[in-house]
Amino acid sequence: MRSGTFLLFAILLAACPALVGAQSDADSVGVVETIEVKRADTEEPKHTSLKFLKDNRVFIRAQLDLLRVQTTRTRTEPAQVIDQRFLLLEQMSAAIAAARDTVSAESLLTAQRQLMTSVTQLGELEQQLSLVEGLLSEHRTRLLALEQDFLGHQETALVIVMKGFVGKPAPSAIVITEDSDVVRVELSPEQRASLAQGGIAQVYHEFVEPRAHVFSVGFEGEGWPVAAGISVTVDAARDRLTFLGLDLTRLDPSREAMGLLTDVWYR
Amino acid sequence: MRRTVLVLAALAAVTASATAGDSTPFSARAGVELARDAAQSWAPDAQLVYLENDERVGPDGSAVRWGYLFYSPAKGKARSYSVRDGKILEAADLGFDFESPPLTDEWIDSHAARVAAEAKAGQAYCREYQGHLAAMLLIRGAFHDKKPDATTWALVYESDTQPPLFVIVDASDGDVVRTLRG
Repeated sequence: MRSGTFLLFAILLAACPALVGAQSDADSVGVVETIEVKRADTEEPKHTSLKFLKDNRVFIRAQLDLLRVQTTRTRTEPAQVIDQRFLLLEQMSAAIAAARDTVSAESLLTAQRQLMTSVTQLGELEQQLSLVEGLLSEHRTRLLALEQDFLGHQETALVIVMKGFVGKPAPSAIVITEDSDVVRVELSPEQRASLAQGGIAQVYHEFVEPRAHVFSVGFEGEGWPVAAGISVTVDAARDRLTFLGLDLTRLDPSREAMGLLTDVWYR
Repeated sequence: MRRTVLVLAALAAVTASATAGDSTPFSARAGVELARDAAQSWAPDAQLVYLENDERVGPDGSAVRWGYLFYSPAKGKARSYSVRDGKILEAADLGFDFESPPLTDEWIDSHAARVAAEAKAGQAYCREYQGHLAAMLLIRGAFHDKKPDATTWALVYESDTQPPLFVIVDASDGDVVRTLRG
């Protein structure tokens, strides 16, 4: 019996260095968190403090349970002028669409051409091929620009831009609310003047959860009556940049807040 | 031997009395910064959510000891600091959940709150029912039904013969917004 016990200890001791070594490896990689359960210290404080709160905690907590806390984050920096690259994206999209139309039209012409009857027509065909080649080259340039800007590091993010203030006073601030989260973005006089002349302002650029978001959009300022926010739904795509465009061209600040045009696109 | 015990007891009583008497009463706001410094070493995100007198409040709204309660959203805990004579006399975890919104920065001090409450109803209650001010506390949202965002003082008067009287004072402007019994 005794020799059996000794043998068991010997085996355990032989295994110990390996165990210790494994622990050291774990420590060198990161922090090992351990949990130990102890009984709470119930020592009474020497000086009674907050007696009323402790005596009436049920009543006071019941009052607090009736409350809802809303957090408002006011940006200390004014709204930023939109990044020129974002505007270029829209131009690129338009150019791609135009190029697609051109290629389609040229393909149609080629299909219709039954017979090459002269050297002149061969020359026209050569011109068309050169045109397609040029379009492909422009595509390559655009793709390269997009790749440099976005590919490989894009996280789910939302950008809100607004325009359409020509002929109406631009608001002094835009308030974007989602659930209890309120973001208030103030616009400087220069930015308001720029918007009134047809400019576009980026008012929001944040990482967001990849899900459908329902925002309430409201405006503050002279000529903008206090009205309930306008509800806008946008589905933020995972690992992509989602743009929400607010077009206020048809929104009349003197009437009920209706007619807000929205546009969503992804990059 | 018995005489010695009596003498020691008498000395202890005198010492305790002298200590209490030596303490200087101060207004609620005067102790906030000390308590805040302590709280922020406990939790950088700690916010003042509640305060209450820890000793009887004098006619000028001052007390020799005030208790300040801070809440840390990161820790999900509340911790109290009892301040007397410019020092933290006691610091302790609250021991129960109390997720109260942070007090607003602008609030009238305890003196102005007491003056407002006395003029409205407190003085009459004390005179009529031989009552006294038992507690005054500052909290946000709990007592102002119409303006739950407001930070309010609640002054609690007690009497041996009547239910207690609560006088609720808007801490932003000193207006008495509500009185209630019971």
